[in-house]
Amino acid sequence: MYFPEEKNLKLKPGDIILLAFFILFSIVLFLKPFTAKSNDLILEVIKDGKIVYELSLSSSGEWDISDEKVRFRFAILKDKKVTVLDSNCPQQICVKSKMISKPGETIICIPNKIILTIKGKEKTSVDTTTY
Amino acid sequence: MIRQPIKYKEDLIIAVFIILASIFNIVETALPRPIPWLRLGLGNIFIISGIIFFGFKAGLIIGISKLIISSLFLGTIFSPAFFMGLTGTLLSIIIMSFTWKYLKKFFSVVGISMLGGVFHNIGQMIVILIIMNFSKALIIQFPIIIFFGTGAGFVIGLITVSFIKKWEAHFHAPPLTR
Repeated sequence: MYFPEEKNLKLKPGDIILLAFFILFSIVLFLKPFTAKSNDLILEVIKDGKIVYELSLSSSGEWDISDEKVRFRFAILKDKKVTVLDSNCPQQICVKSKMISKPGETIICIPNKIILTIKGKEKTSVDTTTY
Repeated sequence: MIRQPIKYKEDLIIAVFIILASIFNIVETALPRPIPWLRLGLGNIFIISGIIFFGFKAGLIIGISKLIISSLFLGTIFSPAFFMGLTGTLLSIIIMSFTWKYLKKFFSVVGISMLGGVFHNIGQMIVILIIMNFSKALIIQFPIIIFFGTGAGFVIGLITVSFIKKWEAHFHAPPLTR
């Protein structure tokens, strides 16, 4: 058994640099997607790596993307928030997750391979779209 | 009279560390948390202590045994969560052992714990990326996992330092004995 020397138990400058680097790095990367405009957002629904829906957050309602193996329902509420209503995954992490409404926020259901993510609308030649 | 260091068996201490790590991990899962996937990882105190006291091999034994025992009790064995934990554990133990062996000059135990926390989360993320066919939406999650990995690693590092000091005082051993 090797007992560490006293100097290896005290905080070193390297620790502080590491802490500051990781925290700053994550904050900078985290704030990047928030630069998108908040009034024209879309919800991207990805199932098995393929985009199955691209919905505007202003279109409230319930959606069901179940198939023979997966049971999964989510809703867009009137205040432009997205929540998972029902899923057949064992740990129910996606159902317990908090509602998402800002660009970059994501709900992931690993057992069902489903990702719900909010994006800023990309520039297209079409001015407006109605659903 | 000079007190002699107590003789003990390494295997016995490693076994005690495995049991403690598993118990901490199981109890921690039952505690209420603000976000479902956010955990401090109290079991990792004993993995880091194992690496520091006995080296890479002991850390690996403690880490893998902790994972298997706690997932047997929590009912998550061979689920996606189990394989996420496995990659995270392996990657973090390799990184922590390497740092402790070769980069001791720059980082203390707290720094090693922070690296372990971050690389544990990155290891988990690699499994999620493979399951989800490398979806771009997941890249956004990286800053969040690095942030919480660093925070949890820092707290766990401080606890580990005080644990090591208590453990050492208990054995009354002079520093640098094998």
